[in-house]
Amino acid sequence: MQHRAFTLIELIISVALGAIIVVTAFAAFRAASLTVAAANRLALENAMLRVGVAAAHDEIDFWREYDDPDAATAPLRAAVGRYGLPFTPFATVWPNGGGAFDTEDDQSWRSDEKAWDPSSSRTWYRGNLAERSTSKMWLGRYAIFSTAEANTFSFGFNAPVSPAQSVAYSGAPAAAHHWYPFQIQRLRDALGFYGLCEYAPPNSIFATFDPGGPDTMGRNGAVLNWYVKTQSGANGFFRHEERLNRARVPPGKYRCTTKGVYAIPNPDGSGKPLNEANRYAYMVGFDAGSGNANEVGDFKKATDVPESLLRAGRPAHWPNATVSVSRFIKDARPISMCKVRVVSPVTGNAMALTFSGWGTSLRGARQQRGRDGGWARWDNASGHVNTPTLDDP
Amino acid sequence: MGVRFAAPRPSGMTMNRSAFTLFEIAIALGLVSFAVVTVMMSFPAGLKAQQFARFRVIAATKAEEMVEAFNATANANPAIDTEALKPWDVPVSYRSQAFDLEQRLSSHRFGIMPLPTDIARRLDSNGDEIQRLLDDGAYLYYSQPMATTNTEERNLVNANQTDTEAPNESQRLVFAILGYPQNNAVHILAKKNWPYYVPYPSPPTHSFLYDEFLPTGLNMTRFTWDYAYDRPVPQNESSNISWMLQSACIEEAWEHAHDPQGGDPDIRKVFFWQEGADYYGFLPFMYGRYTGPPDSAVAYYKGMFPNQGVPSRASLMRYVQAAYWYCVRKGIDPGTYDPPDPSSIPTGFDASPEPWKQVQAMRFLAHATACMTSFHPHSPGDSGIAGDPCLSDAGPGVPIPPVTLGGQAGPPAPIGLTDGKIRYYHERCLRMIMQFSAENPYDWRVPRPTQRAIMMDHPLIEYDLFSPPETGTISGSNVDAAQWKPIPAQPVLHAGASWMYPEHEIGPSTAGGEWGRSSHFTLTAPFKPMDRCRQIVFWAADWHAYEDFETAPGATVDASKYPFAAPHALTYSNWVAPTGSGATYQFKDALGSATNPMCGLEWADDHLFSFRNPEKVLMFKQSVAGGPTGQDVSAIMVMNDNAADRGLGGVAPEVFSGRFGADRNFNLRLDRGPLPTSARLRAIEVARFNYYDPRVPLTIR
Repeated sequence: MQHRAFTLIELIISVALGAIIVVTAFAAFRAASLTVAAANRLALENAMLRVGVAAAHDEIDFWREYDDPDAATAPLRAAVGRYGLPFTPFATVWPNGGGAFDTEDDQSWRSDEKAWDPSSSRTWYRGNLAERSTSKMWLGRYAIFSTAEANTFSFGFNAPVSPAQSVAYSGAPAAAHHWYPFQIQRLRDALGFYGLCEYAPPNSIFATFDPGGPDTMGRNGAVLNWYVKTQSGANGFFRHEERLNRARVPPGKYRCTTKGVYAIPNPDGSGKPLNEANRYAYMVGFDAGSGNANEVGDFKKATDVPESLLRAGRPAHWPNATVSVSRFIKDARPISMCKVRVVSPVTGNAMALTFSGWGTSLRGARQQRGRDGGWARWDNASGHVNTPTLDDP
Repeated sequence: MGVRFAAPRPSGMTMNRSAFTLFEIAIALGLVSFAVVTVMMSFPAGLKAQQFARFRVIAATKAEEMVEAFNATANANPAIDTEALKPWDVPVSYRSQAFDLEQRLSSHRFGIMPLPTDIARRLDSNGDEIQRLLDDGAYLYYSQPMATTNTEERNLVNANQTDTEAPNESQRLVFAILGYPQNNAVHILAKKNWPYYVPYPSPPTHSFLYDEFLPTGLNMTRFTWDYAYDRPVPQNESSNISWMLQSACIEEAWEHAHDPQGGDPDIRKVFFWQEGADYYGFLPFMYGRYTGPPDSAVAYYKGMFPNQGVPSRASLMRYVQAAYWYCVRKGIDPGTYDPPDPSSIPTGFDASPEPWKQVQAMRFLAHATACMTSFHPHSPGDSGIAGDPCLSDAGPGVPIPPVTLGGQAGPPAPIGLTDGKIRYYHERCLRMIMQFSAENPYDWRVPRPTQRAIMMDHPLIEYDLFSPPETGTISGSNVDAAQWKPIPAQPVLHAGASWMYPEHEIGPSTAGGEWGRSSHFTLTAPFKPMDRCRQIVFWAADWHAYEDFETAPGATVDASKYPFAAPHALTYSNWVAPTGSGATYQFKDALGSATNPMCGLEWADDHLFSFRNPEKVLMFKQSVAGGPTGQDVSAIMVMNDNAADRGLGGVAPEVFSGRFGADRNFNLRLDRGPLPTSARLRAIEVARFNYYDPRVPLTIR
């Protein structure tokens, strides 16, 4: 038997063919590896994005970043006197003041929607809508029709211009109506501006006659004051309608929010005086002029609530995702501006998805929470006693 | 040549074994390569799947955001002309404020802008759907990368980059609305933007108008007008303020001296009436000369009624007298305007006269008498004047002498006005108007109460698409125009005249003419869900790859959305009424021609959006064709420039039209992609979302 070895040509060809196969296979596997890695990364990012979107909607619905019933601290539940924050229980700042339901002397907050029934005469604003905050009351002393307090009082202020006309109106003429201004003032005090915008019906007039005279929150029996915060201008208490609407007449929800932007303060802001921190009429210009860039940035800082998506930690090679939900009211529309940001730990690249959503109102969020802590439980089963919520006295 | 393998042969056997030929090897390698390539080709498919998964997430959030913004946002466009001489003279009622998702959201305020037509025409899609939509007149849209919050978020990315957003792939999506807009309810009727709101109680409604817009035949005097924001109380004003007597005419006009269904000439006496040497009514009380002692406010007054001593007790008394006189003229029960027991306040209306007369009488009387609380003391001695009449219920009250105006008598005897009666009038006034408004949405004789805006204030009206339209010419021109006639759900009673154009009297809706046929009303007709379903379709297309994606002109502006100014939007100097021209009104632009009514529009508010190009905040004010890629364009963008896109001067018309392109990726730089304009792109369908398209304006709030 004769054996012949491979010829050199044969060997070369064989090696070359083998090399082609090896290179091809290697390239294929390498491409496969990279593609699979990229696909996995994309899939992971997409999953994080989806989870982020879901988490944002969850936050829209449950407001955990503002008030977490499961957490030990609740910074937006503080109270001083009758001043509270968005999640302060009414029981703390607005105890049951008595009075039969649907009467003018009902001094409690009633969650029953009938409480603000427009057919009820107590829900009608009785101030003078033509009266300005600097009025000399030529159009009359409307406080005889409606004041926040049922107590007797005297009107010596802002009399007409002539001494002959500067007459007192003494004699203790108690106003017949006081439920509406009482509710407006107490909502403002108990919850702040955002809360007032949500709780008061959309057609409400945000003004009251307060016979108590000038103070930090009311002025001469006319309209409400707000703490106006701006970047470019002086901060402080201003007559809200004066700064924001120019027309110094009592405004409603739309007029109050069409120029300025109102934000629930960042929980970090709860350290500020209660009568300020929660009552911002936050003014921003939103144009490209000098200074307004800072306003916009400052506004965003004030409203952003960053959240780490994966609270329990995550593998180091996973993308990092954060969610924030900023809340404010613009043109009478409650807005929840959500941002989901995903950052790749491999490339450092970030992608963000921002959107606005419609979810639970502050009032709804307060009714999700138990007055005495934790989440409220509700059932319409016969005999079931529901948990008192933050709205209950 | 073959490759031979030498292998040991079994003992005793001889066997010829041939190895693979080179051809066979080549075939085998080919098969292996094919298999490898096939496997490799499947890898990008996985990537694509993931990419589309991301697009679907983005599309879903965008669609949800759009529908929610549409349903949750009331009309957020301030300072617009809503009334006009003719229904086609302002477009608010049928286009720019139409309750349609596209019309509402396609603006810089909601971050949805039309894709430039040049680019949209280069996109291929399944069934050529995009091109067919464009052929039908639809727009293809792109969105801003930021959330839509109605706050002009474009400025969140600013020159200082105080908040730099991460890249957002939503701009790689384009989308369109499928299905045609419905015949939606008309929520702004150009002839009369009902409901009119006034505070209750209040004096007769008044405002200012130029003589040329007032009904003829009235005794009017022109006073100069210095515009300010608020008019109700003339105090703390700058100097040179005076007031326009035409206000009285306005009141007469729309509260209903000119109502073809029956006017109310008596109302004039409550607002302004000269009887001998004295002036009666609200106007001389509130806006006359002050004759009291020096005061910081005195210097601000310019009198139009000499020697009337206003605001004062004397002038107020004449206002109150006129209000009582009006009660008598309207046939109000004496027990109502002079109640024997004011502590007992009845609900509802008296048996007679007609409810609207009771509403008006109590409205004026309550307002006039409330003013007395600032001019007369409540208790004896409060004013320091011996024997000064006071309002205390314990006394006879302040006597209101009867008066005869225009030869017609008022109350037969003096009325003692007390605090209790003032409260009685106030309460009855409120109860009456609340009841009237809730029960009579189609009776427009009295304005609605500002302090309680409710659904019933808004009557259901739609356009009649099946009757011949109203025709005429655009006001101030000879240009033919037409508009469908409105149909109310029920006949409108006492439409009267509009507030801004009281010369134009609106006929009764039952008489045809300006109104459509009631049998064509469909808003309350039953419907199937599919009748009101439309669809948002998203495609993925990397349109930023085009070299002209920022320099391409904006999509054609929908001219029907963009108005010329109604006459009142014009400044006085820009308004002319040519004598003998036959045209009652004529428009004049800043250049002096009467051909550009749009020029009269004032972008009084940076945030006006209905009238402007949806890309307004992004558009370039000048050509960037020669500019280097990457250049900073922040200084040449319109942003909130109020003048760059207005009028006929200079390049404004081109800017308005988006002729120079826009910073469409929101980075304040001029960008150009690698793809030539000659190339076509394939737009891949990502998702479709159905949404409910309501016909009646609804707002979640």
